[in-house]
Formats: sequence, structure tokens, C-alpha cells
Amino acid sequence: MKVLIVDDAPTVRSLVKTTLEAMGITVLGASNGKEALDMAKREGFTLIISDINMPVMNGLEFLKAFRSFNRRTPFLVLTTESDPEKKEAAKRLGATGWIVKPFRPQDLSNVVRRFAR
Amino acid sequence: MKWQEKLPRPLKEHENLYLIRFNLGPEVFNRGIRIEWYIEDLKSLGELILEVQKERLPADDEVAEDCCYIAEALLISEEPEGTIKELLEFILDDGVHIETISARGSSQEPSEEKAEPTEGIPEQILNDYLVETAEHLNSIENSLVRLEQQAGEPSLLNELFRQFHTMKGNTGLLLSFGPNAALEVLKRIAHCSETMLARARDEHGQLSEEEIDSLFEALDALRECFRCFKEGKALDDRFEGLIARLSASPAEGERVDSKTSDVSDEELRAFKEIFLQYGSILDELANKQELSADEQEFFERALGTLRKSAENLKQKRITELLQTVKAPSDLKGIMTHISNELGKRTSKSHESQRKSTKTDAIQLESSIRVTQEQMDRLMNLVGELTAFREWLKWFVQHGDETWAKQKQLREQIQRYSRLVAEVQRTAMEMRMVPVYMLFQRFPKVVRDISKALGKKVQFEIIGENTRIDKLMLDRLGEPLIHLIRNSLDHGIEFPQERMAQGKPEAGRLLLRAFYSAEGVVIEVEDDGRGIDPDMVRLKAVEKGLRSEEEVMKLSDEEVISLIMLPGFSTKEEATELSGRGVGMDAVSSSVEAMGGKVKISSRQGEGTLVKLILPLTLAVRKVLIIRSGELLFSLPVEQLREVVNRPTFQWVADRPFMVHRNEAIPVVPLSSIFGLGNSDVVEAKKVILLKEREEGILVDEVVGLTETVTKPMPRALKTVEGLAGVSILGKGDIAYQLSL
Repeated sequence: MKVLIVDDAPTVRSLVKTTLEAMGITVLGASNGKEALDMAKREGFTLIISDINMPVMNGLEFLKAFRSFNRRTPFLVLTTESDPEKKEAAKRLGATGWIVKPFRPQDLSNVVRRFAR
Repeated sequence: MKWQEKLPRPLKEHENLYLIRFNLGPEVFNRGIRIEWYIEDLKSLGELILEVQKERLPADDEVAEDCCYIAEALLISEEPEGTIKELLEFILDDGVHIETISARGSSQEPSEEKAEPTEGIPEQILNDYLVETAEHLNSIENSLVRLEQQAGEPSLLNELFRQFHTMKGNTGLLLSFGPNAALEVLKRIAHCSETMLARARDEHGQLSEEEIDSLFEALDALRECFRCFKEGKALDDRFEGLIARLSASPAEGERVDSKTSDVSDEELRAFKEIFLQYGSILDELANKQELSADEQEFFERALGTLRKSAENLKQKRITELLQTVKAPSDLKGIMTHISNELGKRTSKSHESQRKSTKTDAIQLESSIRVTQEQMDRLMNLVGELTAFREWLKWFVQHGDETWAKQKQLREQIQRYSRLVAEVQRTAMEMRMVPVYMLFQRFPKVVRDISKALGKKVQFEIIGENTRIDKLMLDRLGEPLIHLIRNSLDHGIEFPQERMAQGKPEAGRLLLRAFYSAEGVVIEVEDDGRGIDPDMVRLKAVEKGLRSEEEVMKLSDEEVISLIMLPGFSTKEEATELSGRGVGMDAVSSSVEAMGGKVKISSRQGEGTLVKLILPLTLAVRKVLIIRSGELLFSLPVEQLREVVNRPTFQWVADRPFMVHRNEAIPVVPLSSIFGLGNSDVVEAKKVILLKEREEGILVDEVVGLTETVTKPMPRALKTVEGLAGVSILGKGDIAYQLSL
């Protein structure tokens, strides 16, 4: 099982990494959409978790590009609660769901357990 | 599915029954969603009876256009509806429907009906309401707790009364946009509480223990109503009992009730608040040529509310004025009349007004408007922080003591501290607002006053983007209005008088804000008749503020500052406009309370300049970061004239000079200004030229431009001249702010 976490904040990446690795999941990180897209083209992931606001290529652009060649891999976006519009936009572009920031490790592991089987 | 037929067994006491319909289209599958997972998840919540139309299941690896997944499921579960909805969150709006057939589980939520609570309410008004009501609920709680300790404190009773009253008023305002059950109840509870308080205040001057308890109960009920409103939930009649108890009055209740309907100061103030809230919006409409349908509707509703509240308050004059309004353009003259009218009324009871201005200031403090961008940034940071804290916790719980982990932990903790610092800085910046937020209302004030006086005035604002601490700005409104009134009333002469003196017919009034080495400066300047120092001398002696000997010793300039002494200007002398009993002493004391000072300079016949110098603390400034030796310094850009990159030096009589644009400019190393030892002049790479200093300053490096919040100097360094404060830079470095 392999999860890709895309976020420009290293803290979020290390949180996700630490939590999921404790569940026995392999975690790879990318700090923007472009990097992530290159990785996703090269190898397959069980689940992708991506932030929206990132430099170079944001999460929605990444999602759109990703869905153009892969429609079955679950893709979760990280979003702030205040932003229902972003959720809608993400859904339209093909996001499976979202994780609301700030989140606790157990929220994360619950969601991942559901979408990375 | 006919669920009655499918139900395998009767429900147990704590069980709920839900009917869930799936009607999913390809767009859902294209999002990587697998319905099998959802079914599995639902099964884990209880007993699931599923009916699937198998022939319409999508083929395994592709999703055909017309291939949908249709299924119905009956779920018997102890979980409340919220949990089910949470589980289905990502597909809830996309063809999944939940129906609660029977909800009686212990953790059940009240049966709710999703009403659209906010429809038709302008977003701004709704947001204000949500923020303010949350604040009011908290301040009511504070007052109640304090009241419990000192039951008979009249100011507390009044404060509470006002809080309930404002909440009622605000809620009424919102209800004018359309009915809402939760708000209706909220308003009624606020009303009953208010009535009870008024009764207690007027009859015994204090509350009984039971009454305080009921008020606490009322507070809880208000909170519940507010929550229901926010979440768009319907409210049952669970508070009817409370309302009845709150309104249950002693036998003579009726009579007392009519007594309180007499207009009290609080009610007038509340009306004034409503008026001000509407006023600014109506004002905008009044200036428009044509209204959109929405605006027209808003206009009529606002007018209706104002008329109604004016009638309720028996404000005959205002009611009459409002009756004459038919279109927004009619409002122009009338708004001013009404505010004058209100001013008259409220100033009747000076004493109570004084008291209330104090609480006003406190209320203003508790609400600050921020831009979406700033808020988002802070939210992001807070999100990261929270995530990080959880990470640390996890790490501490699971980590062993290996060296690698310790090192990792240390690194992470450092990162954490940086984040905290950034959050702090963002929060500080949020407090800084451009002065135009206050200044924008002045052009109208000036126009109205000068019109009323029959004077011609050209009003100019400079530096309206200067940023200043919101707390300060809130407290500057009154002093500035006072200064403006003074200039218009006492300073600027009538047109004939000005022409006779060879001055332009229109007087000039200038409001200017800028940063200086001393802090943020706000100036009010006019070209009027100025202040006659001899008149000031005379009056100061007359009032017994200074002896004749003392005033003669003072220079003209010093004498003028005497007008800021308490008791110098008095009510009798003040005119209708500049009056209200607040003189220059009030201006200077409120500025001093903020840690600032007032300077007045005036030339007879030429004009007056009042300077409010406000402290630098918290002021965001653009600074140039420079390095000298090991130390970083910041220099506010407005002091900067030029940076010379590759200076050439000449020595004249042991002193270094820089040759620049055919001039020899004396230079001095920054380090030697602060006695940090002489660095080698020739080694220095840059020279900084300042606006107000002849010498060029030698520095080792210009690091860059940045915006920073200036903090006061640490006490130990306060006596060092030439330093105005400390700037904290992005990486956590400290730069000393120069004031040379």
C-alpha cells in the first residue's frame, strides 16, 4: 500500500508520513502539484492526499491533470473548514473526498483506512 | 423498497431506522469512489438490509455513461443521523438520500428540518450579526457572573439590560429580512429578560437569587437558539416554560411594564445604533442615481424598520422626518437632521452617556475586521500548528530514546517555534488597519458642518493608507471629530471675512497621517484665524488656571498649549457645534491615554496646526534592513534618501568624506554612532543617505526591504539614543530600528 502526500508545508508532510508509516503504509511526499504529477505518472498509488494552495502547481490543477489519465485512484484534498466552495470545486474535478484542516492523526488514519483498502 | 416489509425484526429501544437510497451516476465513479466501501462502512454501524439492482452495477474497470448504481438500504443502528451523514459526506449531495424513519436512539438529535436560515439576508449584515451576537452572549455571561457577586450594582444592571436589549434589536433587524423560528424565540427570550431586568432595576434596584438563576437559564437558552439558527435547525417549543417564567411578574407586572416602555436612555442609544448601522448603507444608496431591485427592496425594508422603531420610541420629530422620505435621494438632508436630533436627545443626560462611552470602547475592542487573505493565512498557519502539536504528542508517546529520534524531535521543535512566531506576527498585523477606515466618514462631516455654519471649506486628506493599530483608530474618532469641528467653527472664518483679509474665499482644512521618527502622526491643519495667545493668557488667568505672572513668562507657543488644560473651555462658551462640553482637554487626555501626545502650533491670522503624535508600538512599517558588523538594523524607508553602492572616499583632516554627485559628504560608520568600535571605513561597502541627516552612514551590507512590526525597546536599552524599537524579522532575527 502506497500513499502520496502533496503539501508545501513540511510539517503536514511529516505528520502524514509519521502517522501512516505507523500503520505500515509506505508514504511518499511531494511539495507541489507538478512534482506530484511527475511521480503519479511514474508509479501507482493506493491513495493520493493533496493540499490545495501550493506554489508552482496547485492541488486542483494537479487533480485535474491526474484525473485525465486516472479515474479510479482515490484522491483526497486537504482543505480548511471555511471553504465549502473549494470542496465543491474539488468534487467537480474528481476528488474522492476531503480532509478538513486542522486534523488529528486519528482523523487521518480513519479516512485512510476507508479509502486505501 | 417498502421498508415495512423488509424490516426483519422490531426495533430495540436505542435503535434508529434509516432508509438510504443510492442513485449514483458515472461522475461519482470518476472520482475514484467505490460504493462497496460505503456499503461495508454502513454495515459496521449496525444491521444493513440491502437491495441492489445488480444489472446496473458498473463494469469493473470502466464506467459506462448510462451505468448507474442503484440500491436501497435499510439500516438499523444506534448511531444518530449525524454519524451516518458524516460517513456518506463525500457523496451526500450526489445522489445519496437519507431518510430517518424512526429516531429514538439515546444519542438521537432533535428531529430537525433543514430550513434555509440565511436566505435574503445581506451577507455583511449576517456576518456582523453572527460575530456580535457571539460576543454579546459572552459579555452577558460575564455580567451575570459579576452580578451574582454584587447583586445590587446599578451599573451592572444597566449593562445587562443594554446587552439584552441590543441583542433583541439586532435580532429584530435580522428578522426583518424574513421569518426564522429560532431567531423569533431568541428575540422573545431576550425581550423577557430585558423586561425582567427593567422591572427589577426600577422596583428594588436589585435582582433576587431566583431571578439571577432564571437569567442564567435564559442565557443558556439564547445560546441554544443561536446555535440552532447558525446550523439552520428548527427549534421546538422547549423554551416556552422558561419564557413564561421570565415574564411571570408580580401582580402589578402590567403597570410596571408600561412604565418601562417610557423611553429610556438605553433604548434611545439602541435606536441610535440601529440608525447608524442603517445610516451608512442608506447614505450610499442616497448617492446612487438608480437602484437595483435588491437595493430598492433593502431601502424600503430599512426605512420601514427605522420608522417603526422611531414610532415605538415616540420620537415624534424623527418619525415625521422619516415620513417625508419617499426615495433614497430624499434621505440626503434628512440623515443629518436625524443625527442632530439624536445628538440632542442623548446629550440630555450627559451623565449616563459618559458612563456608556466607557463600555462602548470596550465593545469596540472585542471586534476587529480582517481581510479574507489575512484570515486565510492565519487559518493555514493555525492548521499547521495544530497538526504539528499532534505530531509532537504522538512522537512523545511512541518515541523511544534513540539519538536519531531526539535529533529529529529537536529539529521539529525548532520548526514549531518558528511557526508560532509567524502566527503571532500575523495576528499582530491583523490589528493594523489603514486610517481611511476612520477618515472616510470625515468628508461628509466636514460638508455638513460647514454647510450648517455657512462657511466654505476645501477639505483634503493625505496619507489615508497609513496603517495604525485598530484599537487606537477606534479611540481616535471622537477626538478627531472634535478637532475638525473646532477648526471649522472657531478657526476658519466666514467667506466675507476671509476675502476682506485677502485670503481665498474657501478655507482649507487638511487631515494628514504619516509615520515619523516619533511614531504615527495625525495632523489637523486649517488656514483660519489662528489662536490669539493673549486671549489665552487672559482666559487662563480668569479661570484661575495660571497666575498672571506665570502666563507672562510663557512664550506664545507655550501659552497655546494651555488650552488643553482641564477646565479651559467650558460649556457656556462652546457653541452649538463645537460644544457638548468636551474641550481640548478631552482630546489631549484621550490621546495621552493611548501613550501619545498633542502638539498645537498656531499663528494668528494664518491658521492652526494640531498634531497628534501616537506611539509606534505595533505600527507596521516598511524598513530597510542593514548590517553593520554582527548587528542588524532596520531603517524606516521614509527616513531614507539614497543608498550609495560603491562609494569612493577621500580623507580631509582625518575625517572621511564620500565623493558623490560632485559633493563631498562627511561619512560616519554606523557602528561608531553606537560606540560599537570603529570599523574600517574603507572596508564598508555601502553608504546610506538620510533625509534629515547630513552625514552619510557607513554600513557593511544592505540586506533588503521588508515590512515589520516595531516593538518597543527592551527596558535595558531604552536609554540608547538613536534607536526607536526592535523589529523582528522573518527568520526570527532581531533588528534594531534606527531613528537617527
